[in-house]
Amino acid sequence: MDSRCVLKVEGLWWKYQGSKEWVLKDVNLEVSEGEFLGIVGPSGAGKTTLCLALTGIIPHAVRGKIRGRVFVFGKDTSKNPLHRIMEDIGIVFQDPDIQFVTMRVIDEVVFPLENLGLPREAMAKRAYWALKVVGMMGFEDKYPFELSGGQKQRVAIASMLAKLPKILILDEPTSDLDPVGKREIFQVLQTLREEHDMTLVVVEHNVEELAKYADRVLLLNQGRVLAQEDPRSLFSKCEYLIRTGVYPPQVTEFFYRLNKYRGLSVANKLPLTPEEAYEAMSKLKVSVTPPIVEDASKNCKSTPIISFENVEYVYPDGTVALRGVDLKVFRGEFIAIIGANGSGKTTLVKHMVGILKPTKGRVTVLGKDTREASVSELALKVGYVYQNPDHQLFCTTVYDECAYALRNLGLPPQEIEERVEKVLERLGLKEFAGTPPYFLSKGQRQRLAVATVLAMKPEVIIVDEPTTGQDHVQSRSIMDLLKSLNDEGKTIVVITHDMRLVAEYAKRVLVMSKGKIIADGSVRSVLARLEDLDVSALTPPQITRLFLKINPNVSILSVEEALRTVRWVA
Amino acid sequence: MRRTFFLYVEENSPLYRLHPLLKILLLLFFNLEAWIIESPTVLWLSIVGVLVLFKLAKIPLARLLKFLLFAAIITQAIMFSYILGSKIPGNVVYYEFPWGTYVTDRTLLYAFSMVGRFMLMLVGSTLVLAVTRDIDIIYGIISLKIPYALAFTVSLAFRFATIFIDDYFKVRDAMILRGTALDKGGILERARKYVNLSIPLMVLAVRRMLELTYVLEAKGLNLKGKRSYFYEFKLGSLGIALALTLITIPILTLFLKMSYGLFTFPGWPFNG
Amino acid sequence: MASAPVFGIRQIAVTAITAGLCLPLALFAIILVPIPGLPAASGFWIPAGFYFVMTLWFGVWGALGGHIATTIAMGYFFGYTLHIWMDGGLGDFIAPIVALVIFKLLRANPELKEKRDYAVWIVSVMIASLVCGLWVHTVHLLFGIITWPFWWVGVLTYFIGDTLAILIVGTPLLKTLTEYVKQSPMYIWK
Repeated sequence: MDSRCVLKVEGLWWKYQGSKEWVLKDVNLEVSEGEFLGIVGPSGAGKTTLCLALTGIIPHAVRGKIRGRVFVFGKDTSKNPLHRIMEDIGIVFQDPDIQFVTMRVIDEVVFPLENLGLPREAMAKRAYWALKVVGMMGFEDKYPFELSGGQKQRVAIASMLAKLPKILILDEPTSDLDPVGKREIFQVLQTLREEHDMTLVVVEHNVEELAKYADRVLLLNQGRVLAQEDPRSLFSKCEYLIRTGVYPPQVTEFFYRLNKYRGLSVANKLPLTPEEAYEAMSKLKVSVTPPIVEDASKNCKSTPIISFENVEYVYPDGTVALRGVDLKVFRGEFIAIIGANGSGKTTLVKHMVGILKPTKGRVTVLGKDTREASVSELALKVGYVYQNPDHQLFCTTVYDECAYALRNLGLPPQEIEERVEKVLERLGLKEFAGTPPYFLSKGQRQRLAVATVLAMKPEVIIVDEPTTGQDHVQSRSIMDLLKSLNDEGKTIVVITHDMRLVAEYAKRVLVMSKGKIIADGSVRSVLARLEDLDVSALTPPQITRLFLKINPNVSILSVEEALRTVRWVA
Repeated sequence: MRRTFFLYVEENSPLYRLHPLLKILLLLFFNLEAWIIESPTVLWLSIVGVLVLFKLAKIPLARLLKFLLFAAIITQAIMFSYILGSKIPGNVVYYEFPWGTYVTDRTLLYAFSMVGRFMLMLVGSTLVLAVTRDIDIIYGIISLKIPYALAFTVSLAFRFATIFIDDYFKVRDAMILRGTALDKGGILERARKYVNLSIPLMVLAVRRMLELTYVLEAKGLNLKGKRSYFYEFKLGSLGIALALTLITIPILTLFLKMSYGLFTFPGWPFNG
Repeated sequence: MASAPVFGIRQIAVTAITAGLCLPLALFAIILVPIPGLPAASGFWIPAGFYFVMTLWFGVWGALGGHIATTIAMGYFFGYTLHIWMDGGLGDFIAPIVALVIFKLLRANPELKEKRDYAVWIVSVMIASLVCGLWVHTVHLLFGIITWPFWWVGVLTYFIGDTLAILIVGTPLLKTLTEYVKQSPMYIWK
């Protein structure tokens, strides 16, 4: 074995106890010291399982069948006790809450060191060093409920760093985070890489960030390694990636298709970042024609279906969540609400469904003041889909789940049956009608959550971060569904951090910061000035940034639109 | 004031600086003394003493208001029970019930004494817990030579309670948004509604159990081998003396009660 | 039959999660359905349904979790007194273990597939609730909170309240979720 090889996987197969299918199939992999390996793949590919196998948690703490071997610094994970393997390796999981097992930041960071039996002075030194690396000095005495998701994730990294591992594995560390949190995590990874020469293995759906930092990217699907290449080579195989369920960086995809259209070799060096793309564009003889678009934002002539008049909301603990919000939502709009965690997005939409009533000001929904209407009454008009579908699935079968609200509302059985059948058919869940919801995959549960709301035939559908933790295929599936509902006349309000999807689906964007709406307009106009707003790490999608750099008056929303916009100069 | 865990009040006084073991012993002390003593005078004087300690420890007495409603429920339960269901002989019989029990002046005094017992436990425990952080609970348990695993489990339970409280509200709101009126109907009807609430909470719990095992393994939780502790609490000679005092006094109280009838209820024992 | 329990990481996870889950449920049960006249009691002890089921699925660690949750929740409202720990806290530790023992002895299936399983479930819950009621009110008596005539009243109301709560909440959980929970490596039935 190469002495610089720190992780080696030989012919790994893994099957969970009770499962018929192998989750990992003949995985072979070597990771060199100091390398940054990215792992991508659609949901269910086996990425998390691979991470568990790399740390030795599989097979020590998980029952199943294993074939092949995994070596960490030459130690066979199956033959060495887990605590010996974990001396050299740290792992950070996706959920920032479940990883926080103590009640204070400093306790969390020293916890692994206590388990190692280190002396007090050494613990203190390492803990404060780790907190400094992740930028959490000054937070030592904070409780977990005082921290944002990004901060908790940084503490999780610090907790692992304090062990001084030589390898750090991060399994979708930014999935549950807002743009601020995502940026913070990648900044930490950059620091670890540059200043501490740490070997990193990072599973991510956010390929655009991965493309910037990774030395090599591994593509996993259905338990098999399909490719292991440098980011530029891998992400240049756009069609192959998309077929596999992984979306390459937008600018890469744009140039790939541009070259293909021009009959050029698609294996040419394709850009991975907007900066590289701009440089490449400037060498091409092209002109950019602004797209002809209708301003599909506000229809000033119609009556709003939801309106906020100088609304203020103060939580019982004194937190001012909304400050003087004025807003009109019109029928048939597709609105995206963006902003950092704590900016007031969820508070805003909770006022739309009547869960919260304003402290000051007024909210009217379809002409009714929410203070005078019951939540059940409003629920018929405004449906709300939670971020985590598990919070809103409480029946024993998929069918009953869709029928639940209708039964509560006293609809006749025949109508209930009709509505439920229709909605299950539409969402591709008909075959699962008799299945308990908790047996469905996450994507299916997400669709079921939408179905339960759709069955009530609301006029407005609010969806809170439908793409968190989902791969791009599943995210697009949900967004396509919402688009089709919008085409049928339903008003859609989506809270999301995925700027790519905001650009491609929303017609109007609200930007929130510190309880206020600081920008409200067509998606094109808002994205064009997003960076000027200097709001909490919100940046337009890659393709938008590229074209704004070429022509600040041209706001492009998608790769397709970009391709239509570009004209060759003869 | 910053939100804290549990009943802890962020302040600074000598009580806060007690060793965690002493805090646990103090908690036991108040409870045992309350249990042993039956004399209403001693009980209520002790309560006054504890309230003075509140002031010395800079803990707002308003902390006790939190328990006011339920203290009232306990008081009512005790009075109810003794008035309707006891035969304590006294100097004045106020009422005799058809089923044979009666109310005398001693009945009321005894009930008052039992209320005092409960109140002493309550105020004493509240005082101690107001100066006790989560770390103190864990280190206190460990210093009693109870395995670290148990102490850590209790700490973990606190941590996860905050997560599940959040889940509870989200699920409850989701049910309300789908037309469920959780607060309407009789006990059985409300129970049926809670069944629906229980399913997602249970599913979340079972999923998290497995994830938590991975996390604890990843953090190298060591239950068999030697582990170290970040915090250090030293029990000096003063602390040892205090510990011995807290242990000795209840023993002494019990001895005096059993041997000389001190701290008993006036006229104890009595028929009924 | 499961081997003698060792308190390892899995057991910690079961206990902590059970306690963490049952704690808010206990807090809300007390608020929602207090019983006037009976101290620290709820007419409908919702968490019992949960930790009974957790105990049947995962063994004594579910009961330990229930114990921790009850002690903390009841103490939160009534003060962290020795009395509160001994009555509700310990009672809610003993009761689900009684039910588990009966299940194991009679080799019933927590999935409640057959009528026999249902019968064992109902009987074990009733016996466990009775044992718990006896325990709790004996502790009340020892602490002087109640008198003898109210001991029987308390035992009876406790028995009825707990039995109903556990059967109403616990039965659907066992029936619908056991198949899902069986996949967990912490499940004690082979």
